[in-house]
Order: sequence, then structure tokens, then C-alpha cells
Amino acid sequence: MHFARVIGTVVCTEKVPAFRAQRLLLVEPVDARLQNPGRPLVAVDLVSAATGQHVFYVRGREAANALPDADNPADAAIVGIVDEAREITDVAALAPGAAIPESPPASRGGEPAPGVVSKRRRAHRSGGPQ
Amino acid sequence: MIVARVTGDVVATVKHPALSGDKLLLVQPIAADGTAIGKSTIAVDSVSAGLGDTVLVVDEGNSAGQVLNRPRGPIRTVIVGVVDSWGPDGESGG
Repeated sequence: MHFARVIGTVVCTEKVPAFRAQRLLLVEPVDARLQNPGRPLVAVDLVSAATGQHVFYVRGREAANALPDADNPADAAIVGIVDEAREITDVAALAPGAAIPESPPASRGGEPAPGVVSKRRRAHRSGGPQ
Repeated sequence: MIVARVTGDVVATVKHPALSGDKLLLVQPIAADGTAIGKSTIAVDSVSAGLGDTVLVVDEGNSAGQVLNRPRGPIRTVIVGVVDSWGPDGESGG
């Protein structure tokens, strides 16, 4: 699974039957700090994500398995909305049992994306998978 | 399978039901000398790995499904072992 930021929506009136009632979102791959954007791609949204949100998605055959009926041609699916992502980038210096720094990099990295739902609201929102 | 180092973690309240209850860790593929190779990815932990651990990671859906006993799920990257030592003969990395 990889991190991405939702940057838009894709609407198709005419589409394969397996994609009926599925939301398609435009996402750009990013890192744990919402930085280093890669080439945008279209992913099926399983978690009711909104534009600007930090999400993670799965690629390949397993993306199709994320939909209720696995018999579909999806090759990317958003399977989670990130509340908090912490990463130490200096891999070589990382000692086993090291502690992750207190302030989460995701919250201070980059400019806050427009439309980002606050952690509190996200945690309390109802509807959507779990 | 690849050898990687655990470099962080991910907290997500809203996620696919197939991921509920799973610990999500960031894993960075490494070379035998411990340097990073390529981009880090998010993996499901099945062996209680911790930050800084060198781990064995599978990145294939059928393998992941078998390890987690959840065939045909949306998961393909799973930590399946904690590496004690590794490297070409005559060397041993962390």
C-alpha cells in the first residue's frame, strides 16, 4: 500500500458494469509527509475520501479484491484515510527499538491541503466502512 | 520477498473492513549495507515487528492472503518475518 493525496474526482457516465456505483478519484502518490508528489492516477474509492485528504491505496490485482464483487477491472483502490503517519527517513541511523519522534511529520510537513477534514471530525464521522 | 527496515507507522480510523485490527507499518527496502533502496511502502504486520527492525516482506496478494488467512483480500504487502541477520556469505547485516 502507498500514500496518496486526493486531488480530484473522475466522472464517467459510460463505464464497465463492474464500476457502476463506484466512486473514482484522482490521486497523486505522496510520501508519509504529503510530499514528493508522483504521477497522478485514478483509484476506486472505498472509504468516502474527500479532496485534499491523505489516504493510502493498494495497487494491482488486490485493488479489485477491495470491491464487494472482486470480478472487476480496478487496478488501484483507496482503502484507508490517514489520521497520522510517522516515518524516520534516516534509515541507516535507525537502531532497533528506537522511538518515533513525538511530533508526527505528517502534521507539520507541507502546506495543509484544502478541504482536509480535521482528525477529530474524521474520528467521529459516521457512515462508510468502519 | 524483500528485506526492509521498519521506519514508521500509520494510524487510520477509516479504512477498508479487511484491514480492521491490522497494525500498519512503513517499511523501507534496504540493501545489504543497510542503505535505503527505492520508496517505502505500507505493510500489514503479522509478526509484531517494531520500529527499526529488519524484516522480511512479501509483496504479492496470494502470499499475503495465505499468511493472514484471508484469501482474496485487498492486501498485498505483509511483514512475514523479523530478520536476525542477512547478507552475502561472510557478511551479516542488522
